[in-house]
Amino acid sequence: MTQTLIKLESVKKVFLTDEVETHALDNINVEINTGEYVSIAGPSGCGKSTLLSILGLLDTPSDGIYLLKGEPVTKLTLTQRARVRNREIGFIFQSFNLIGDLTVYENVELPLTYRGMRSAERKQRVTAALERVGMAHRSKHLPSQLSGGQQQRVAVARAVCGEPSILLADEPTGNLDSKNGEAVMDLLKELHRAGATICMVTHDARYASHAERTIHLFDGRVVEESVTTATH
Amino acid sequence: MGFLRDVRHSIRSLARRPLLTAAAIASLALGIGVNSAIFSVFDRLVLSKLPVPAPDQIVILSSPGRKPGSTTAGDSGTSDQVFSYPLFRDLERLSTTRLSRIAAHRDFAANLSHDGATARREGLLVSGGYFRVLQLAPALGRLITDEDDRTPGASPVVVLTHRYWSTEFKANPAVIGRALIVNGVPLTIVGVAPEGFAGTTTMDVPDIFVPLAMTPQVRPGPLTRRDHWLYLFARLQPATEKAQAEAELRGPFTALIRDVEFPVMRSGLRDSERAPFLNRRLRLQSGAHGRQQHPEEARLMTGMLFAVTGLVLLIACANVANLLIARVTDRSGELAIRLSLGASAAGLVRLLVLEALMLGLSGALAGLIVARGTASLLLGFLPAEDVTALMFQLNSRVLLFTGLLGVVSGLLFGVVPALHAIRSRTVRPGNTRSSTSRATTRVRSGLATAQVALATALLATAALFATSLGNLTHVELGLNRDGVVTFRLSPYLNGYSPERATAFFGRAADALRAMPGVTAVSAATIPVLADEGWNQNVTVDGAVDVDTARTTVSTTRTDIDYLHTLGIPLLAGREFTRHDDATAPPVAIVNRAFTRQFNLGDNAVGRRFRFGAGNITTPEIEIIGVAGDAKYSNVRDAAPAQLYLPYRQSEAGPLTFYVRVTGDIRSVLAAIPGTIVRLDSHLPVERLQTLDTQIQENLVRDRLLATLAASLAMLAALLAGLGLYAVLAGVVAQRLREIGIRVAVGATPRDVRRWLGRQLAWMALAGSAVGIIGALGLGQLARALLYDVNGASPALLGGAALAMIVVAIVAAAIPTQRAMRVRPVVALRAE
Repeated sequence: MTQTLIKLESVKKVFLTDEVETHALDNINVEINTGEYVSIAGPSGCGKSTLLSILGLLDTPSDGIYLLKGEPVTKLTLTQRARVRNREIGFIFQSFNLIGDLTVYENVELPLTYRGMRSAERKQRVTAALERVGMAHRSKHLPSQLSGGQQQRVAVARAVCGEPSILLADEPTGNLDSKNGEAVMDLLKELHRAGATICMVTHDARYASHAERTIHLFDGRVVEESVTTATH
Repeated sequence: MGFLRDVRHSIRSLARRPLLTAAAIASLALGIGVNSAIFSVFDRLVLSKLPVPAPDQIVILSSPGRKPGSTTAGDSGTSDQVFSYPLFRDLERLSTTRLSRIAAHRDFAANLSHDGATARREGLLVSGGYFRVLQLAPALGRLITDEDDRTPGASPVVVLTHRYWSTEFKANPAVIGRALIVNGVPLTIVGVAPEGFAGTTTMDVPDIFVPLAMTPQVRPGPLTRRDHWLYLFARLQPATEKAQAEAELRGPFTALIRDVEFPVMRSGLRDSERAPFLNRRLRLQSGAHGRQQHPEEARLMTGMLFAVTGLVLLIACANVANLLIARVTDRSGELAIRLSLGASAAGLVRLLVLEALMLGLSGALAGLIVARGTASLLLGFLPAEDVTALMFQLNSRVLLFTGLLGVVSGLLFGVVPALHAIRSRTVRPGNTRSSTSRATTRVRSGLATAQVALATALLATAALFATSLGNLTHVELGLNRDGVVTFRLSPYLNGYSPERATAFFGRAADALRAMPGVTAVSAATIPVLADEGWNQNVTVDGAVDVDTARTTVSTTRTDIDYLHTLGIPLLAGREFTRHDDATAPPVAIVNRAFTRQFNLGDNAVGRRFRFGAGNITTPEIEIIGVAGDAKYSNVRDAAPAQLYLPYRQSEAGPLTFYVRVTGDIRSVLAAIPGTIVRLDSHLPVERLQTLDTQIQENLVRDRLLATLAASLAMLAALLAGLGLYAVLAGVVAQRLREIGIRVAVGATPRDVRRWLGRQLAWMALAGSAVGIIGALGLGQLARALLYDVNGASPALLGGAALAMIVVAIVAAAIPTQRAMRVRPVVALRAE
């Protein structure tokens, strides 16, 4: 049975700079169900990344309700939000955002260390995640020793190793060539097939079509929702 | 041309960042200034040469070995360096080819009166050859000559120092021929010594020079071969070595000792001491830098202070290096453009080092102001007479030293960032964006760790000195210092005969006793705990198993009620009474240490002793009382074997009075001069203060070291704290994105704090550990200056490390708060 994982009701985000109000998001109503693969599409500056930041609890809405697994999360403290992020959300960024001083293994392990998980369990999960993305053989390398595609696969491993409720991907192919971009999209599709809930921001229609459903944003508003009938 | 262009660019570049430039200059000014201040003292004590022609030719005479009789050494040197008046006259007559004539001098307390006013000043008795040997010419009139020193008492003349003439007579040339009353004797002013010359002793600045032949008139006292008190010096002939002159003197000196001295002295020598006495030699040592009583102590003190201030400078340099590394990172874009346009790496290093040198020299310039302030602070601890001798002077050596420190510091903190920028590839052609590498962070962390280490070492050293001072302040003195006023009267300086002086002292004591609030009054010839002393050899009748090398006892002559007034317990027998005068049998009180030294047990009262050793014929003195042990001349030294004699049984010199008071001590302190003026309006009351103040003055060196070390340690901790702050703030700014990633994947604010804390902990713990090792070294160096404190005390070292860790935590507070508040969405977007 399909469950609502994320529900946004009348969410607004207003930025105040030099006494000028910028409405980044306006009256957003979105639901994402467990196991769904949703893409958020729209032109540059339409509010896609802001929406993703709110979904990932990296930012808070100025108004509206955000329910994650049925629980309101807009009023949480910094520490509570960090814990929710750590357990429920996995991030995949456009620029990979791996920590240069840490090895591949340590980068993937990082979210688990904040969970207070025992070393043996961490090792098991990290190894499994790296094998899943085909990077186990590079576990002792530093990010600077990897190609962009490999770095993004490590970032995916980091996102999934904690078994979060949802993966949030922000332009995951933005810094990759088409071949590596396709490979990462295939990886996401594979994860989705295995049951992962994915919400991906992209401005590329080709990659948006990988998702089951696409939410179109324009000027901070949802202007259209479309369901993909066929997948690549 | 290239150099001048670089200078122009450097000035412009420094001016563009006024805050950073000001912070760097202020840091350096503090570091360099405190070093220059100490150097100025070091210069005065150790480096400065006498302001006389060819000072390297001046040699000081000494003759180590036992000297029977009384020895009175002063600020000019130890007891090895004093000679009797007759022996000096014998030596003065020697004709040698390697040496000029031998000259003599000795300081004396001088009450100077002119125009109806009397003031206590310092005088110097000088032999007729004194100024000739020094090759000095007068600023006005004439100097003292052989004619003035030929017949005792026949030449009542005086020469003024330039400073005394300028301050007291407003540099009036008409002063020549006028009378100056010196210790009650009218002397005619015949000249003024050259400007800048104030005797040959560093810490002794006289106001007047009086012919040695006037000694009986202005400094009454015995002048026999058994009284050793004159300091001698001479001038080597050009191109003569000290050893050659010593060799030439050996024969005549040995003959003098054998034929003239020994026959007079032999009765005071034990059999075992006779051969060494006959083999005494005359030694010459360099007098180019003037005389000092304890030159090695001055070197140790200034060496210790240099060690401390040197560390402060190193910390300041590390701070500036840290600032400059951050600045180089900031400017990596600009420097990369220079490289892209064809500048060489060496050219860039030169530019960066040049900027650092300019900062260093600016810091040195500003440091001179800090130096003056520090020197004033330093001198504030010293007695007024020493302040004149050590006054901060901006001479060429101090300027050179300060400039050199500026250059060396500039190179020290300039080369590191410059080389680092090139080596770590912070600056690369084509890379015009500012960037910070991990290597940069490592270097900056290394510098901050070094600062923590140096500051920890200084904090530990300061704790050592503070503990030492605390121990000295609370040490058991054996007397009650509270509620006692002390002052000195020297009526003999105003021409009192011994009989008149004794009668005057009696009247003064009676007048003091009659003052409201006064409960007891006494007096002594040697002021207690004032770094003065009088030691004598004694032979106790019937004493057995006495160590013959330890027959010297510390002596003082006292009035009645002395033990009672000072709160020294009387353990057996009685105190002196008015009846213990010149007509009564000689008596003495000894202390417990005396009874232990001479194995007298509990039966000291009634025993007899004599002054001297060997076949002595001095009168027997009966012990009538035993007192508890009390410290004598120095708080640091253990209570010595001590002998109290009634001053009424001999001629009295100056007496130091003690007045015990109940109630308001200040009103008694204020009323004493009036009480004495009513007895003699021309007699100055000298050194009027509480006994507690006098004892505090005895600890001036310890207080100076403790205060200076504590101030410098706090300064060092502050600088190190700023260094840590700069590094951590840099880490947070540089790793903002990393912090954003960590927060994005679930790091709580506490996790961020822990992450930053780990970096701080490395610097603080590693720095403290190294600092403790450094502190052990400094503790070892300072051992001779410490009292009853272990340089390796775990509590002190641990306390210093803990204090530095607290400083580190405080320094980290703001960067940590900033890191904890990082909004990941902003941090990640910044990339």
